[in-house]
Amino acid sequence: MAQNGLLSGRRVLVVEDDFLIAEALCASLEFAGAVVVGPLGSVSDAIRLLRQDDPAIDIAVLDVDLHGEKSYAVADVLAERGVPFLFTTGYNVDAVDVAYRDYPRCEKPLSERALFAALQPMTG
Amino acid sequence: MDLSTQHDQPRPVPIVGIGASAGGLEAIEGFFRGMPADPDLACVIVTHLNPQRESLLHQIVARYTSLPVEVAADGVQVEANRVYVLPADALLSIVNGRLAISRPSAGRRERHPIDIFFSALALDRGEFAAGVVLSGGDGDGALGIKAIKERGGLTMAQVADGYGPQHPSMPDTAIATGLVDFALPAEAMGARLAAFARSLLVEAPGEVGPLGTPAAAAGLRQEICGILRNQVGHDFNGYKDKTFLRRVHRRMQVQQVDTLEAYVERLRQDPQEVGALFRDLLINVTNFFRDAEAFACLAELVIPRLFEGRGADATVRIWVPGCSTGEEVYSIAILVREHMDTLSARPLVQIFATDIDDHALAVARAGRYPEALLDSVSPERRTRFFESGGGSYLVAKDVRDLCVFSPHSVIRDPPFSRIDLVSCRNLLIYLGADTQAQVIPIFHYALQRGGYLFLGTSENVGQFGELFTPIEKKHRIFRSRENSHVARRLPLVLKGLRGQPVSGDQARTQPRSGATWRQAIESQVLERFSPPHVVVTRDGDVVHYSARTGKYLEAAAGVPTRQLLTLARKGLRFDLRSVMREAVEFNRTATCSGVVVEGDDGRLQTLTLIVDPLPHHGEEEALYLVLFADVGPTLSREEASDRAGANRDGATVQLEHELRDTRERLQSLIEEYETALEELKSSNEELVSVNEELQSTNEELEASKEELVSLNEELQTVNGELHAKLEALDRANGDLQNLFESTAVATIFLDCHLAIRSFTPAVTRVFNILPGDRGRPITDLSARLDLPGFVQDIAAVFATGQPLERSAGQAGQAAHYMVRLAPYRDLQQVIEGVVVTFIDVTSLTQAEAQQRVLVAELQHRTRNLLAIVQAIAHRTLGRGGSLESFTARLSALGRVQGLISHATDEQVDLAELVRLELQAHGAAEGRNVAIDGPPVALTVERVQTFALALHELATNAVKHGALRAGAPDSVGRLDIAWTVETIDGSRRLLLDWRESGVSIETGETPRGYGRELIERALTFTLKAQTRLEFGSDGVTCHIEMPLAMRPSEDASVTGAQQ
Repeated sequence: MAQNGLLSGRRVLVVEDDFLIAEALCASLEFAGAVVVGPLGSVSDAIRLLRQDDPAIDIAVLDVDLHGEKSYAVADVLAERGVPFLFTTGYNVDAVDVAYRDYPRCEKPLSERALFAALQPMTG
Repeated sequence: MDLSTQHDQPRPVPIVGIGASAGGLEAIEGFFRGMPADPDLACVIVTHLNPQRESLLHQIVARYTSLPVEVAADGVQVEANRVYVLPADALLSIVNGRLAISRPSAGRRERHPIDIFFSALALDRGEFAAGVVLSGGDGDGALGIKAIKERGGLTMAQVADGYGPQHPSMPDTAIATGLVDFALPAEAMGARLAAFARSLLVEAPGEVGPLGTPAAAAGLRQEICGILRNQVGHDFNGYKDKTFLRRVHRRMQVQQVDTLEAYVERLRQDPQEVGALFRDLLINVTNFFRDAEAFACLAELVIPRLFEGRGADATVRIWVPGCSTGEEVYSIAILVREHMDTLSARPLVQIFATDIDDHALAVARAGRYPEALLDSVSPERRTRFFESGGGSYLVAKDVRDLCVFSPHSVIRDPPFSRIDLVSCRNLLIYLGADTQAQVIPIFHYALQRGGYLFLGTSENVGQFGELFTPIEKKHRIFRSRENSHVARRLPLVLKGLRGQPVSGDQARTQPRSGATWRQAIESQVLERFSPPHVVVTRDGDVVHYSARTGKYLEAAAGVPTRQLLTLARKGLRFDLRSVMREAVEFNRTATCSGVVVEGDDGRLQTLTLIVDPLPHHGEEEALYLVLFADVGPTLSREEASDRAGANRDGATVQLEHELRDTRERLQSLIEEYETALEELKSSNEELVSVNEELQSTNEELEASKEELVSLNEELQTVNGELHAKLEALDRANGDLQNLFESTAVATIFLDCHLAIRSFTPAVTRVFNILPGDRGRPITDLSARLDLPGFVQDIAAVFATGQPLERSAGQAGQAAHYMVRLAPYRDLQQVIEGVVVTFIDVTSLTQAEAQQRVLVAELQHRTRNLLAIVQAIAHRTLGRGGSLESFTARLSALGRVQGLISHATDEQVDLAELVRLELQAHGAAEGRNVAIDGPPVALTVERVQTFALALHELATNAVKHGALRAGAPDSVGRLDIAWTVETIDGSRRLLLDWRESGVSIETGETPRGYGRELIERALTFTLKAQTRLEFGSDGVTCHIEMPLAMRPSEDASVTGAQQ
């Protein structure tokens, strides 16, 4: 696969509340060589993790909706750190807050091609 | 023959003509209130309408009756149980049962539409016609009633019943004709009319049903004739059977008597009914030239003689007392005019037409008659003497000019005098015998010597044969006897004559009382010792003679007389006249002595004449006692002259002297008298001319009064209609008012200056508006809404005429309004303002927003679900798992979706979830499966993962555990139990899945992805702690999972996402 090794060695933070989706996502990422951090299912867990070891995260994949809570706070911290990230969401674009619409976004269900196409620029 | 039966006339429909004018609406309402359903007759309503206005009468009438109401149209066949209403600006007539409508000629307004319709109805329907005259302000309908009655129809007029006709003049005029069968309140008419219609239907055509067999009827007819002959002295044997019985039948209807026998009995007992029948039998003589032969006879025998020997400066005077509505008057006037046309020198003709009924006189004065009353008038006369216009005929002016109409009672008022012809047809039949006896002498008085009297066919001069000579017996033309100077005076009027003791007869017949002795003695003294005397009236008619008057009075030659001066002997008359005059003039005792009277034997008697007024009271006639008191004995002529001669010489000279003086004075008096006479004559002429002017002015006034009255009638009708319309408007207004009050839609009506016309109370939610703000411009008010561009929008509506819609929010509030601006158009479609409607769409807006959220949520869930499916597919199929277990997992997901879709409040019951899952695996609660736990609501978020975990457990149990089917040693049992505990303030669900009776060899725990789902998915997604292990005889799984604090809180979390 083309994605083989795309993310090799990269530490990718996965924030996703549904285990099954997270599991599948993680599998895809690991398959591309990433070191998956997480998955984490809540905003507070994610922020706590980021506070603990910030430099270790290279890329983040954020589900917008975490048990009804928006993950914008996590996004803010990531952006502040300069960590590139993308949103995954089941919502349409208009459900995303205007301030966060410019960030790359993948719609669920994720296709690997779209996911890696979005992740590609962040690996550089 | 066949044809004729096929074309047999349909049974004629009785038609009721209803005439009403001012105040008529109320009367019509009353009329229909009293009308039974299905009366089997048709009603045609004729009113006075303004030709310039559309009439709403039919709509109004339709409210009063259940019968269908329609506006009369030309050619419409009149049907029973329908009501027809006269349209505006039309004249209604009827021909062969079809309505005929004509337009009155322009500029001519027909003032008597009721007469016109009634008379047409009478001609067309005959006995099947009925005329009803309701409230109204003039005399319309009276002539129509006449026509209907004459053709055997039924007639009615409204009388007061407490509510009464508002304007009684019209029905009163009808009643005054004497031809109204029923004078009833409006409510009572319907029942009578229905009875009338029924009686007509019962009657077989041609036969007189209720009158019994023809033979029996003939016998009873004889009896009726006999009663009539006895009571009114008129023999009706010569009358046509049909006419006679028809009239009798009509009286039976009026009296509500069913059989002829009963009616004969009624006649025997009720003299008034005899009179009524008599008059009914005589109807039809009031028309023009009715009784044409009699009029022809009059024209031939009498009219020319009236003009004989009279020059242009003479006057012919004709009196028609009891002229009613004037047909007789105009008939005579036409005859007179015809005769005058043949004369070169035409005397002045005055026809005095009098009646006691003012309304009838007004009708007569107007001289306008419907065509039906003119059928005895020849076409020549019609063209010569009538002007046709608008369905009726107006008597020509040169005929009307001959006639002077005035209210006058033959019996009460002083009669006319110096009349050449009195025509009094069919008045006497209405008068009792004693009144007749008064009236005939009055006519005699009124007539000149040799004047003519023209009576109705059934009338006669009765006992006054001495006053009149018959000229033409059959047609009742009489001539006043020239030589009869007996009553050349007004018989002192009526009332006086009757009560007075006229002669000794009456005195003698008076019963004697207790004081008879004294009276007897006194009368004997009077008889024997008082001077002879007589009692006379002021005219000198002797009403009482004493004994022994022969010496002074003697029967005069010629017609017998009671006149004292005629009776007095020679020598007595001169003195008697002067003494009488003195006594009458000054009402005192007058005496004259030394009067000499010569007896039959030539002897002279000197006597003193005394005339003494008798005391009298009030209206009694003044009477005078004339006494002849002898002075000395009777003397022979010689003795007398001797006695006179004794004192003659000295006196002669003086007497002659006095005589000369007296003559001179007499001469000057005569001259003065003649001068005065001249003056009187000239002032009389002036008066006559003034009178003529007044008369013409009066006629003009009458004409304008007519117009005013008819205008007033129309106005009243219009007013009534407007009133009814106003009521309808009030109701509509009330409805609108209530709509305004009750509607929650805020609406403002603005005029073209943006001023507020009206608004609904709901507007207060939008504007700070008070009821007093009507008329203020809307721009003055502060709005609670943000309404940018409101004024421009209004202007746009004015400019385009198109409605506009926009939405508006209320600052700082959730309220949302849809503002609709629509043009307000008046009836001519001109935009007069704007209607602004504020429709509260807050809830709609909210619902829309909610819907958007829901759609987004659905999207989210679907995508999530797909993502899960993707993950499952990845894990199940991607790692070489079986398609079967993939589809089984999808089914489990599907079941959960099913539960979610039914979920209330986004909550799913745990027990239900468990049961559903077990059921899907073919296991049910019962023998070897137990489910136990309190109700626990799981949020939609959690339930999916939880269900998948349950699915894995159940799948394992079916494959390897307690639910394994078909195993011969299967004693497996599954217990699922849960509790909810609150630990450190957070609620936790503790669920145990316990299988038992599973052998070690066969049983095993879920593996691989299944196990992962149970342990890790629950742990990760639901923060649960799980313990999955194979126990002593089967799988046990302990799940401990936090629950939301309250189910509602869980729900609110979902809400907050939005």
